[in-house]
Amino acid sequence: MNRKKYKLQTKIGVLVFLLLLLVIVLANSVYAWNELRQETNDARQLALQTSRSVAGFPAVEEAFENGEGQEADVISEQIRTQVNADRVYIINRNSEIIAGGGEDLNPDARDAYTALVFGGSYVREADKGQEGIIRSHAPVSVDYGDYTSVEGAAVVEYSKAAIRADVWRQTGRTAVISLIVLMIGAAGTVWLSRSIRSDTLGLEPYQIAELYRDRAAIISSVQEGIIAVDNSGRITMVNRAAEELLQLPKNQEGLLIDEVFSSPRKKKLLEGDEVIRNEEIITASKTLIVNESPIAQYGNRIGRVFTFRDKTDMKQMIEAFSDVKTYSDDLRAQSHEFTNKLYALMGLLQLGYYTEAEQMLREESKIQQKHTKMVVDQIKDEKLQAVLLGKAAAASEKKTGFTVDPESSLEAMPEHVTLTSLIIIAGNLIDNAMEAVNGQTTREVSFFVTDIGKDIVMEVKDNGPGMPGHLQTELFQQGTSSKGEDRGYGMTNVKNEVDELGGMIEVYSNLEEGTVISVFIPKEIKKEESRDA
Amino acid sequence: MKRIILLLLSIAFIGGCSAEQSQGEESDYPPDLIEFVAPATPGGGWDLTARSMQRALNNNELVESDINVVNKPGGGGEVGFQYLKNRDSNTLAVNSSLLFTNNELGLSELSHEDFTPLAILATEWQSIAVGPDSDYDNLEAVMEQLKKDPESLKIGVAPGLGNDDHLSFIQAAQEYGIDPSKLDFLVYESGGEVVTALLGGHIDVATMSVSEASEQYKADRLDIVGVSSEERLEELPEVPTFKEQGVDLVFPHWRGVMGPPDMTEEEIAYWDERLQQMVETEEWQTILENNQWDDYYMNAEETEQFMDEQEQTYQELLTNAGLTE
Repeated sequence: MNRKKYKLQTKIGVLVFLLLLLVIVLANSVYAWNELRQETNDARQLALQTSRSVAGFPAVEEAFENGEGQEADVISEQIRTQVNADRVYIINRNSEIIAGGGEDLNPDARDAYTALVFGGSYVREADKGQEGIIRSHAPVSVDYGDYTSVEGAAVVEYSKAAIRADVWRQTGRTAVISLIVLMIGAAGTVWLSRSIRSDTLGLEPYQIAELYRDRAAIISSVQEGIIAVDNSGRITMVNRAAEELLQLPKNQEGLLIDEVFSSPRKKKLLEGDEVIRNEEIITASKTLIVNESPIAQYGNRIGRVFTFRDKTDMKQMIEAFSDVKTYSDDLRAQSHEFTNKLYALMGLLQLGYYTEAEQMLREESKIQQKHTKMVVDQIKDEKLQAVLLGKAAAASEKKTGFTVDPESSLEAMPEHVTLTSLIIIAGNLIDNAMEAVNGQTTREVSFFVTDIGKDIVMEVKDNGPGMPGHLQTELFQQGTSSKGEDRGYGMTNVKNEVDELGGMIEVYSNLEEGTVISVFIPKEIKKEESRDA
Repeated sequence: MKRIILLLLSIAFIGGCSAEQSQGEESDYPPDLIEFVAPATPGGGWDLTARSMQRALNNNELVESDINVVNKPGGGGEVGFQYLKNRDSNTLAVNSSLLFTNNELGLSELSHEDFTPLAILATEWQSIAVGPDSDYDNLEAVMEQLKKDPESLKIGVAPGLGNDDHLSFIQAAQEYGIDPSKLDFLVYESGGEVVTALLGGHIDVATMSVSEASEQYKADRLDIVGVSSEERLEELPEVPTFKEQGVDLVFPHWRGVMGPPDMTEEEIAYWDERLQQMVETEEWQTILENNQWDDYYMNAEETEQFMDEQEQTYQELLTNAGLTE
């Protein structure tokens, strides 16, 4: 873009001014031309009529009969002033003036010929040097009783210069008015360009174009979903992230919020007047955090911008992170326990209790083998093996009995069940169970898994105090926990994961007896699930 | 732009349609009733021409339609010509050189361009007469006297200046080298009054058509010193022409027919054919003879050309454009 960028004000100003000037000059020229034509035509008509009436005056006829031209003189002059002609005069057959006249008068015998010889009356335009004249002749016919005879002619002259001067005078007047119009136009131009500039917040059009270009790129690059609406609830902009997060079709701009969203909660939220701050809305798969900021001009709200952040992504990351942390803690605890056992072993050896030391080693290795064997033999899935071994270690640290049901059997998990899902589902269930048995004297948690049939069934059983009925129903809602504030996300996450995998959860709990939670995960994903919440 | 083109196309289409339509209607020509306008009072030359045509066309079954002669007198033909201008092709009018002179003398805005010329039919000739006891018994003598002193003879003319009577004399004088502006014309109200003035010795010379003069001539009340025809006239074999007497001028006082403006080719062709047939009928020949007219027939095409030439001639004559100062 090497083209020079003119300021908007200059552009509009020059263009409008030139247009106005053109129109005014044209209009004035046409007016002047018309006026000249009209006045010339009028002068011709008037000249002809005047010469005819002068020729018909009795005084003129008498002048020929008596040879006395005084009265005709007076009349000619009188008429001349009345019709504002340059000259009015009477000529005889020899084209000599017998009445009326004016300075530098030189009657044109040739021009008078048709009137004098044929009695014609006519107007002709003659060019007399530089100054043209409009000259009319009418025959003076004298009545001699039996016959009449053309004795002379009445002549009326208008100067074209006088007509032109008159037209110029009038054109001058309209030119002054035109000039005023031009001034008003110029002022209007300045006002218009200012007004446009104030609408564009003082930006020149090319700057606006740049902003617009950049905005499109910026907005589409943002990970947050953005939707802008005007005051009537019409969507003015949707970015790509918003389309993905809210699962909207393309090109929703111009539609009403009402037409785009079907869920009453979203509608109410987005159409309401209250300012939205960190509201959560839940879609089929995601929890979104909505924020709003108003679009304001001159202090009035003319629209609103909504931003949508995916909470699920964030939360899952945090959960996975904390789970990994738990395992490292569990492993540290286990190694700590082993260190203790090694110290004990060293003590026994130093004291010389070899039999006891040998027995201790045997018992330890038996426990280890039992755990490992059970887990490794019956549960073929490495992901679950890892989870269970970690949990077993943690349980052993907490002096909780953790057993994997000998009936368990599991081939490799299907691909769609990821490590994260497993950690979340199994890890949370086992953690919860271990927490539940914390207050008991004998603490037993057992885990059962099987993939016989279409579903993978996981069962976690504890001998804890059990849950009252209301807790069971609220179990999977956020923030529900018997463990106090800031807790209660675990089970919700389990629920979300199970839902994601298309499975279901069953809870069986008896007070004073303990709780059994069963999870059913289908081996194959069901296609075409309805997703909107 | 597209719209404008469409608009123009549709206009052209509509135009085309209407043109076709009007062509279709033309097959109805001639209508049941045709009107001939004589732009003068009954009894004059124009009236006579119109009624003669009516007779010759209807009696010889050249035109089946009824023909009506309408008199529209006034303004030296102006009233009748204005009337014709606003009629359709069912109306025709008789015309003469007044069509040009009226325009030039400021009596009319019309010209022959405003009409459709159809034919020139016949012509009369002009004559110059003197009193029975005049000193000048031939045209040359009259002209010589006027050349010597243009104001010495009083010339009678009726009913106004600028008609063919007047113009023929002016042109003759011009041909003879006389300045027409010096000539003394006395204007009488009618041809009869001119003859009376001539008899009474109030005027020395009179100019009038041959038909006006010949009756008085035969009654020996005046003497015709020249006629404006090419050759001597059959009914006045002893009267010499202008040309024979040193005035190189043939001046027809022709009469023709014209229609309103914008007649179609087909309509013009219709009249061209009928009028050509008409002037060949015996009845028309008799009419010519009775009125001392000569056959001067020209078809539509020739008439148009003749009109252009005549207009030029009359304009020069009236404005004295032929003379240089």
